[in-house]
Amino acid sequence: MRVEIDRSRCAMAGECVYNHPWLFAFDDDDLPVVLVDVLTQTRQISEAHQAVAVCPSGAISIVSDADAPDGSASPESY
Amino acid sequence: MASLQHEIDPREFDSPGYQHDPFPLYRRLRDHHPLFRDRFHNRWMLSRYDDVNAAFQDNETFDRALYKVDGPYRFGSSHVFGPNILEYGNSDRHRWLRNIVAGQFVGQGLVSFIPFIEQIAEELIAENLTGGEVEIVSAFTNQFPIRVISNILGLPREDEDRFVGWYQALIAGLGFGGEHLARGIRARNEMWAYLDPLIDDRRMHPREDLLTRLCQAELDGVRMTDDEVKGFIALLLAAGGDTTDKAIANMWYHMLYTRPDQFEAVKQDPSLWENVFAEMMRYDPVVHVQARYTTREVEMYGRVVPERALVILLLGAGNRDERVFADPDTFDIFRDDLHMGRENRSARYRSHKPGHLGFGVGQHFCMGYAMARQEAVIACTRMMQVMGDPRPTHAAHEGITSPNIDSGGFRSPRELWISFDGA
Repeated sequence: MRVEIDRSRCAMAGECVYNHPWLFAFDDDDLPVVLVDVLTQTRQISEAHQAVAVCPSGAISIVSDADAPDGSASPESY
Repeated sequence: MASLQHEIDPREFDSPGYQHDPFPLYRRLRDHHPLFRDRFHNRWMLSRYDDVNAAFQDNETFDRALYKVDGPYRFGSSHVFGPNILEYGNSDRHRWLRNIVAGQFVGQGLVSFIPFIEQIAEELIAENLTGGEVEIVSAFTNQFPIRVISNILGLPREDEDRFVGWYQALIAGLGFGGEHLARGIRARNEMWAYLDPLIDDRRMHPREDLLTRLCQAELDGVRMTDDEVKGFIALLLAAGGDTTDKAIANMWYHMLYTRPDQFEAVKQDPSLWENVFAEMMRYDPVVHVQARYTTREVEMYGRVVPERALVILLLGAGNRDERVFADPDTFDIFRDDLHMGRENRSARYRSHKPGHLGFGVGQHFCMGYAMARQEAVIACTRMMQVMGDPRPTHAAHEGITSPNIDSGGFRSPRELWISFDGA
């Protein structure tokens, strides 16, 4: 399970970075990047879901690799 | 060293003139004492936009809570509110507590409440905005946000009026002290007694409401205590109710008295209420100060601020910084050097325009920012719709004031009479 950010949709609100500093950080362009490649722990996953819910621009999605039988990942919507 | 003619007597901060019009003093601070040491009140003050903004973003150095060895100090408003999350400063516990409710006020959570906000605005308008002449602070603004919050919490609608009463007593207690404080604490106690059985109920029988979220959320298997839940609710009432209430009154005040010419444009295009909101939050926001405590020695402007010093961030002064905003003392809903759209916690915008500092920035950025803007714009738009051609009942107005800016006192007009003919 991974977190993806649509950088073109991102409004730079910073909610993800401030609420979940272990998972997101600002890069040099002031856009967020994901710090953890694969989410494994329950708490990581629940916080990632919180980040999706709180993002004002809907730029964050959670990609479950197992969901895609053809091998390509599909974003879940929340 | 500032020359003698620019010296500031710290007792000016306690004068009635300052409460009414703090802006001349703000300018002297920015120009001559960008880092002001107030020995009389034992604190430091920052007043320039860039300094206030930077301090807000540097939580490692400027913490919201003052720590002692075994935990955070109780300070400020906790005698009225009970324990609240701001006392957890820059910590995982603060982040966790904030995240429990943040989702209700931002992003997808907010969207689901918009029809509800509209409904409550309509109800209040139908009930109270009648008769061609109305004092909107008591008839509308004072009740609107608190009714919204009470419903988000999931309190019974038939108890809403009692809740509004407690809230008003609590807020008066915070703002004015004296007998108001005694009444405020009495209201707090009544409200807490009222909440006890509701908290018990939500712990046993979860529902789809914010009170349930507060009661059920767990961090490492531990829930908030009853006192923490009640402290959280009190904080939501003051931070989420009173501020929005006063923001709406301020928006109307500036349209009626500061810029009646621009009000004509708003009447033509109600979507401009969004701009009115942004410019109000810059020009004279409800909250002018935020307190921080240094966690280490900080060197600024060639001086050393010691560790554990109280630093007042004068965001109301930063918002008027002529280094950032052209003609900063003019209220202008069309200014092109301010980010007019929705605020960002990061203070970063794709337009690269600076935002106002009215919600703070960073870790303790107002949790209800999106909700506040939404409520304010919906309320103003609907009120204007019903009133048709609103105008000030009285030609003169005493203006916007605060009981105590420095201790976080909220700024707003005490009364605001509007005459109208109806749409």
